[in-house]
Amino acid sequence: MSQVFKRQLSASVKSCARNKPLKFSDLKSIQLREPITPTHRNFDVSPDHPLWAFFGNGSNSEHAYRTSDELDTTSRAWTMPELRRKSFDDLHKLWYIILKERNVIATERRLANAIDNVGTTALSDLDAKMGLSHKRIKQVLLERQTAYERAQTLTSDINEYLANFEQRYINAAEDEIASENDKLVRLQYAVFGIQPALEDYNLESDINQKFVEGISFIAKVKLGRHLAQNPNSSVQFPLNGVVEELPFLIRSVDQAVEEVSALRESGQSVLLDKIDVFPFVRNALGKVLEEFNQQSS
Amino acid sequence: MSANGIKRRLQKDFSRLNKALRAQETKSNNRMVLPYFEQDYDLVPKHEQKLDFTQVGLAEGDLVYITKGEHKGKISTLFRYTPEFDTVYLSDVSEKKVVPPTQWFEQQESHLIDYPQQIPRDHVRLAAKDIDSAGKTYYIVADAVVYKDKYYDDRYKQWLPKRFVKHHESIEVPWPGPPTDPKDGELSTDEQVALEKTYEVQSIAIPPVPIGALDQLRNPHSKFKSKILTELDARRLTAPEMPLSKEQKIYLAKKAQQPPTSVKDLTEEMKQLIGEKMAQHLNQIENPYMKIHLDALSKNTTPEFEKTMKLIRETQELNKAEEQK
Repeated sequence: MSQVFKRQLSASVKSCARNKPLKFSDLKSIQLREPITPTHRNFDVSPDHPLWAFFGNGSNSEHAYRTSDELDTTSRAWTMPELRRKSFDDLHKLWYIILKERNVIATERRLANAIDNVGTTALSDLDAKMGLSHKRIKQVLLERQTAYERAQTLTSDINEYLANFEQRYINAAEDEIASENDKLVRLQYAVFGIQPALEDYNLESDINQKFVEGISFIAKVKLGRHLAQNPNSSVQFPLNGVVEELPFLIRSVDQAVEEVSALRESGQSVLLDKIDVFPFVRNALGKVLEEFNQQSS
Repeated sequence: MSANGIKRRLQKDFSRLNKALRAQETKSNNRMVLPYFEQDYDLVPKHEQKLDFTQVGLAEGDLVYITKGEHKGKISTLFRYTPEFDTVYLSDVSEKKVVPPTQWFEQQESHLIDYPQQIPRDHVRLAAKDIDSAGKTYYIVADAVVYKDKYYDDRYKQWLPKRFVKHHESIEVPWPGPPTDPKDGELSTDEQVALEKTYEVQSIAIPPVPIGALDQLRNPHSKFKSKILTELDARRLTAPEMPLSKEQKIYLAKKAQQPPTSVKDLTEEMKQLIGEKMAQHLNQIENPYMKIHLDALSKNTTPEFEKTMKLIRETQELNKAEEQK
């Protein structure tokens, strides 16, 4: 006999299914209650329910659909010049504020489409304005990113500027050195992303290739000036990698020179492998930060 | 692909049709529609719509002169421009429209109502009103306008170009004031907050956008930005080689058999002869201008001459190399 295939429910469903007929033992003992009318008024919804965000007035909404009189038809979209003034965080917040409003509008349009598709023009107009704002936010962020990426290709210009700065710093007179130091602090942030204040460092994200390049530039400039004034100093070029360069970032020049000569004498000055550079900088800066925090507390 | 995506692909997209096809589409749509519900005007695709009033050349409140149609010669005030149809609504140009009872207003008693008539943008020209020295009012109609300079208009809170009548550029037609003063709506942002500056470039080492957010701004899979071509792309980009005809093949085979042309340097005798002939000819010239002209010509080097000289040098070097062997 040939096998007959039958469409069946899965085994688990079958096992869960009732296998005896349903029986009421004593029908008289069952008490019937008054029927509950199926209407939304019989439900209490918490005002904190997240789905309220899809209605025009949140949890105070009386209707699911706003007519054109209740809509804001006079406001305009954000313009590019306005958005260009805003930070990433502001733009990020603004994006989600607009998105929430667009979700409300999409809900209402969907409702209107389901009923009669009448009266959605005001909603579409408002949505178009918000869509425009969304596009402009993206455009502004892309502009910034493109400018940043192009700036990374200007290596020869940057190197020329750094060389000029180095010359100016080394040859600066005593009364000019304070302003040159201020310039160096601004420059280290502008070109290498090294924050001016120690407590602003984010050791996880800030320590990168640029940061290490910045440390060696600062050491080169500061030691260069020190050697120009004291040719017979105990520390001479070349510096042995980041171990000897880092003191010039966190200490004054005289202290750094002392520290480097002490390192050299004790034999602790070693040229690190590339893979050890970031952990070393993180560790060393972490210790300095701890000291700083203890002092300030 | 989502169901909505499939639906969109199969839907007729008006904006992708060209103008003639759009007209045809409108016509076929109107075939089954009662005459007074017909759509008269061509829908402008979204990317061609003019959203800025400086692109249209007309702002709300402008006087316009109608050049075509039933109302030709009328001067009226513009109160709305519709970018979807590229048409204008004028304040005292209306038509009777039939409205089905389901769409009647309150207290409406007739099927016919006066409704502002849509007039194509091409059928109106900018007009302006002025008073002459005798105190009499007169109108100017500009067939075309030109924009010059820019000024900050405090009424619109934006920079606007100045508008002049083309070919009569001493006549400026100023932009009318905006119809209503902008008021803060429910969604408006406070002016102070909107103008507050919270971003300034201070470092070129710190990326302005977090790396994780970049993929949402740019398409990471864009085929236009990928630096590696797939084999299919490479084949598409390489033009096929033109097959040679039989005659071309025979010609090329014959040419390959011929010895390469060799050019020899001129001998001293030849140079002498050519020099004498040229001197003889040049001595006959008496016109000073001709002499100046020839002098200038002699300084020019022609590319053909350079090529020949190069060929001579190469053949000489080849000959030398053969002799040495």
